[in-house]
Amino acid sequence: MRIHALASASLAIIGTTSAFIDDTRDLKWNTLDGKKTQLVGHRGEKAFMPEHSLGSYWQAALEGADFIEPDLTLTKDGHLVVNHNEWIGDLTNAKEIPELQKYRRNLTWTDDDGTFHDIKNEYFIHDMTLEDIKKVRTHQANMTFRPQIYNGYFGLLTFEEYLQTIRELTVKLGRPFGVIPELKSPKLYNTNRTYSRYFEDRAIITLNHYGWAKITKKINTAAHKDLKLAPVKPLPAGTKVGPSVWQCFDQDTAKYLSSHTDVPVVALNENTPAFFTPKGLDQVAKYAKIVSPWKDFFVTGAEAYLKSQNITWDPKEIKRLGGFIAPDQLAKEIHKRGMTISPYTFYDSHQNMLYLCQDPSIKPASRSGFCPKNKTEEFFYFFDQGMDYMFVEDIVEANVLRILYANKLENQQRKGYYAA
Amino acid sequence: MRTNDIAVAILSLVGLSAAFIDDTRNLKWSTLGGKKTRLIGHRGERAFVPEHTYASYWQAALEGADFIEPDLALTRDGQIVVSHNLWLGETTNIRDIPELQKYKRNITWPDSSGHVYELTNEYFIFDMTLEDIKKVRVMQSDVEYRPQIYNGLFGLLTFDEYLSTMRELTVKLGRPFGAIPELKMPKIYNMGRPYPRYFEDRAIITLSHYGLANITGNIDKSQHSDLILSPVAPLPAGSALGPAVWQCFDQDTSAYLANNTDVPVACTRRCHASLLHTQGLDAVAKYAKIVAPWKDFFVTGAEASLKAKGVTWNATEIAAMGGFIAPDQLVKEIHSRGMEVCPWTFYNSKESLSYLCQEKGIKPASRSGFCPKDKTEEFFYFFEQGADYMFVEDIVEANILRTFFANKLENKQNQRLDS
Repeated sequence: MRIHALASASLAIIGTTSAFIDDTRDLKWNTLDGKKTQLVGHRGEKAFMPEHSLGSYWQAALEGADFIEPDLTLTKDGHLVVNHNEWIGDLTNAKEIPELQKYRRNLTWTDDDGTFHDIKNEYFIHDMTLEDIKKVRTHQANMTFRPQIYNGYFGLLTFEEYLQTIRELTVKLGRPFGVIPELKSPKLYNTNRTYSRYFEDRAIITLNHYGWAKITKKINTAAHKDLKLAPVKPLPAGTKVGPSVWQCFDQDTAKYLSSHTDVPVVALNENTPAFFTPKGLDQVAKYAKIVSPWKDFFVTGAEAYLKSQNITWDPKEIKRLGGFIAPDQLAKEIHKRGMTISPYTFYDSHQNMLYLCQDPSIKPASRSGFCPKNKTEEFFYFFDQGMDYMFVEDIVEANVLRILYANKLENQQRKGYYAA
Repeated sequence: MRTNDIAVAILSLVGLSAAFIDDTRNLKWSTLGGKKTRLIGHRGERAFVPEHTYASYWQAALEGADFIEPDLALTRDGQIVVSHNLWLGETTNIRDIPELQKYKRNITWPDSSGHVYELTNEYFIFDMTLEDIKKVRVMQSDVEYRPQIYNGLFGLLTFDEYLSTMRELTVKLGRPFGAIPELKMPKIYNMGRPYPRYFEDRAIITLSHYGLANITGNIDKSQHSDLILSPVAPLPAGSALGPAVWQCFDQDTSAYLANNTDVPVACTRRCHASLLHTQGLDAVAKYAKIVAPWKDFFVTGAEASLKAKGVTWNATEIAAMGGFIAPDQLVKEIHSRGMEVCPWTFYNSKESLSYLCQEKGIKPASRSGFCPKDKTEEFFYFFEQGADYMFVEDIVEANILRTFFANKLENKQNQRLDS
């Protein structure tokens, strides 16, 4: 293969094509706005790269994700760091760094929704400073189909660095990427701070600084004078920036973010029985624009899933709230209340899909009795149901499936078009 | 997001789904075999990761390439390494390595097309040992949309390591990947060797060692006992290896590879008129199974492409041979001789398409006057023409376009069923 260096140089200004190949057919999807389902890169592209690393975000962007997801945590000295867990020993080399061994301990805590955590012999982000955290290097989970070749290469990023990266990707790749930060364990991160909304307000100030949030109700900015954010260079003229969305499992924090910014909020949930009833959804609609359940609530259904997690409920109370919504009706009920839907998580096809109904003794509770046999069936079901967003790993596969589905829609919507 | 670690462990034995989502619709393409066009990862996935690195090959595989391409070079001590260029100054950090500075020099040489290369202040692979070459680290080209975050992380591989990687990917990802090694500059790499087919034979022995080639001629293996070959573990039951194809610009080497192995050969050409008239194709058909021309031969056409490279020809001779084949007839002529077509290279959409017809004043020579305005038009044209393979960069985009085109085919082919 010859290099066409000269040809490239001289023709560089002639006929350069537009960015990422997009499917621009005017098709009507079952989503709330009728547009195609949006793909959210789960922790970037964690199927191929160590999650939440710079490589993971580049990867997700190059593969065509619509949104790229960071999880937010808080260090002892008040820096927002992107990491999924509240601890770092499992996915970094923290165990091998002598000066970090003093942080190793056990911790228990309970989330707002009642989830109890009991973590032993770990290194907790809220015990460490940013300087400590910056010493570690991340690695990929131990799965044979995931390349292990970037282990030890990337470090952890701050929320600011994540936002700068999204801006950089937007400019370099010439298309917008949505930001969708999830605040992890707010009750834990607000412990021993100057006041009880410290974590939320720091995240709000940072997102606002990068032009992705307007503050609609007064927050305690005085408490955050120590937060030094980098100057933000203006973007090139005509740059289209992606949307922003908040996420949280803690509904109290979700409400706070909703009332203090103009950024829509995702209510995440997988263990509150009331959430999956008609009256329960009515309450959620008061503060959330997007509902994000574990995907099996749409397939095997609420009762089976909650039971599998040993979560109990008062049958009378659930009945009063309208009873559990059947899994194949859940999407309709959410859309009916003007909210969009973003289930999680859809894995690389080498991994188990994790539906309880795959266990023959557990029947799906939907009238259709649907249980996907493979990833294609899974994706087509969720597209049919009208998912507005899907949290995905292996964005390459997700994109191909989305295009195959779009063709199915086109066949349905244009039957007879070519015959005429 | 909660992790479902325990659930993963328990259910890991239940209901595992198939590997990479493939488009299995039973459609008829215009390729020679009627199956879909195959995508070849050009030097791996060089649009995203430094070319010809272990990571580039993983990347191409994860993105769903059908073939993954290595370029073969030969060190001073006779080991085969994977590198596009004969020189390393452009794509690696070699200038920063003190002990390798003694290799820096200038050279000029003509290749088999008569094109003269002149390189100054460079570090040549055939001057260095494998140990020297293993010191360097690869850098991504300075192209804005390409991540610069892997620079200096990866080194160069041997052909043996590339083949090992193909097996690893086949097993770990659960699908076969084709190996399509290109022997670069055989005349140069065979200089100063014990005999003039030294390079070809080393490549043949290596490919055969990995079960991807049967040796059909007489090769003197005694000359190659120092060739480093790793032990090859048997594949798990049910694994299938991908196919193998040789490539070479040097037609003499191409014929040799065709005569001494059972591996099909792709005749690669850029600066030669031989692929562009019927007699030339007849000659190539004697040893090649695949024809791999620069893509503009199919769009702007022969005369413009050759002229742009400063290649001259005897007009009377060409006329006597029936003239140059029109660009939109070239695939048909190649297919009619039982050969497949494999044009190169199709770039990421942020780069120029690089067709001469994009320049004012140069008209496409095909009757249709076709000149692609964007990557979608480009790909659909080549799919419609029946390109059997395409060398691509940004395999994500290529795969998407192939899926779109399959949709178009399905619409057309279903319509006939509906009536």
